[in-house]
Amino acid sequence: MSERKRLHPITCITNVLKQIRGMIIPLIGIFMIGHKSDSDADWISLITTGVAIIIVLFSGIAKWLRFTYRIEEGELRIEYGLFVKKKRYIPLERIQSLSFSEGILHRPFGLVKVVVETASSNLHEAEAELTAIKRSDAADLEKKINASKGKQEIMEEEMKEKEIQHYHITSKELLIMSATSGGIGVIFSAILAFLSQLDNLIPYKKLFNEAGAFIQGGIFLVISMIFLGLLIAWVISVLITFLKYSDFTVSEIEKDIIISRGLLEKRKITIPLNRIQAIRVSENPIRGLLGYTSVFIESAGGNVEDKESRNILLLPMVKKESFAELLHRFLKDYHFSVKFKKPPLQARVNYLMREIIKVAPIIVILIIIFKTYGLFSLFLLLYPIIIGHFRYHSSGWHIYEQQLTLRYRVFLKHSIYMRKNRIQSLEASSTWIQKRKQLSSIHSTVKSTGLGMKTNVRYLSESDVETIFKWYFPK
Amino acid sequence: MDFPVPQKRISKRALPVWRISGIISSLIVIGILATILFIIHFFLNLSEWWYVLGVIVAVLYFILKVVVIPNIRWKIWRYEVREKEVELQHGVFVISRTLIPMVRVQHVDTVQGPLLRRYRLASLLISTAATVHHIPAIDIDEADQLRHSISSLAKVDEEDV
Repeated sequence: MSERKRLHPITCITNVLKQIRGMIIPLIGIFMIGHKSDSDADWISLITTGVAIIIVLFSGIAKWLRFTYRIEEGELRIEYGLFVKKKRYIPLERIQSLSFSEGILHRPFGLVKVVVETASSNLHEAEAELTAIKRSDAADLEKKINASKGKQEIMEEEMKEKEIQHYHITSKELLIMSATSGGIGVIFSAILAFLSQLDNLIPYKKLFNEAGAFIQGGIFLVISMIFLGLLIAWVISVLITFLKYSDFTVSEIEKDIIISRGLLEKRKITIPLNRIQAIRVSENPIRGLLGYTSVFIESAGGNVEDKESRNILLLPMVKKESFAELLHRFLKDYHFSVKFKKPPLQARVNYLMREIIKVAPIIVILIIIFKTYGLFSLFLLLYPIIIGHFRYHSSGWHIYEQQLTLRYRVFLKHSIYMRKNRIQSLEASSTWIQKRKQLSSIHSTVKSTGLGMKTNVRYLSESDVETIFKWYFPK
Repeated sequence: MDFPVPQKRISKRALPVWRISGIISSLIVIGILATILFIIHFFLNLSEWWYVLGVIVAVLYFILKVVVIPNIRWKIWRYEVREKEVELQHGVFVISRTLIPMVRVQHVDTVQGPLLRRYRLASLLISTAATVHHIPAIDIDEADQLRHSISSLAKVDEEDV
């Protein structure tokens, strides 16, 4: 594949669409101005729009013409640029991951979009993006990259044989996942539905004697509108989640994990096992109640602005009690059955105070403004007490051989499984007061997309933090 | 923690540098505060106590930024570069201890702004694949020497990133 190759001509259309999307607002602006004044301005606006569209069309085609890629001397060489010719050469062994996706435009022509990622510090764009190439070319590219990494070339059939499927989302999991995807929205609409039922109980007429009927009608209308809006938002989010995550499959070939998913837009991500920096298990409170949790991979490389590549979802919905066994099948270096050691009892006050301090100023201000009635704002203290309580009970740590596991909660409960040789640095911190109570917080950083991912577990006992430090000390 | 505290302190000349930058930053903050009070004065008739409060806040802030914080900060700042690890301790109200294994160090920089240059100081930046650690003010010769020794000690294991 040493000859220069172009992307599929469909790229012109995607280029143009992308450009137009950026221009829509200015164009609307021009039209609005045009329509307000006389016919002369109308002409001007039409001409400018026309010229703009022609420029966009030509630049879309020119960009496609100028973009070439090839594999030469063990490098992926990309040349592009409209006026300034840019060349980007990426050594194949530096390529961290390839991800394929198929959009609606790709499907009919058998094309895929390929995103090439390295560990470079280039945060805002993927290292290279081939917007649309033939599926066979993509497979060829993948084979070449694998070959350069010292993996023997494997035939297609052999690939299929070596592929071990570890996980396939069941329809039950998919349904529960979709239904709980709107999280807060669901709760809100449930509460509002309940409130609108209260309508009969609350004596609106007595409350608003004169304008009663009118206001009652108004409130009912507003509530039902909000309810309807939330319901629609929820249905949309259910549909989107369903389309995005159906057919979610995790499999393993040689030393790569392959994640594929999607109904309309198919996505496939390949992650070499040795690029995994840490495993994160995050439990959403609602899904947690139903006994489910999600597993993510932290890996180096990837594009910061792309949410999908920042958080690689490994298992979207998995029973809490079965994920350990499932993960251990292909992540053999990690241990997932972990008994966490909690922070000491005296840390509970610190957990509560930390949240109370954030709410305290609001309460003080409310009491100053509303005097006696302001005392009702003391109910606001419920929030920090509840969240502080949950955070205290969620925190914990565990060391097993070469693995440190830390658990903490923001709203979601996160457990981070880290191998010693992936931890970039370890930090312990405490204030003067915490020092007297012999408490200390631990912060560990692993490499992730962009800079690092820092895990903070607060107010552990000092001797525990010391144990973690001793474990981390280079031998 | 029972761990032995790192031994080396940063240069004593860090103090005048921090004081000067403290003076500059607190003058800016006080200036902004004064302007806000001045603007409010045009619209509302404030009682004198607000001005008294303003002056007290300004003076306290100045003392904190120029005298108290630099002193505490200097007292707490420690570092130590050993064969296999770098250890740091820093902070003012929250005191942090950091441990960076040598094998994780990717590169080391020294940087020098105009103020630091005047006092023959430099800051040392130690970068791993995911973090950057910052020793704020050490003697320029020592900084150069540290940079050399760390970068020769740091043999990054390619596999680990």
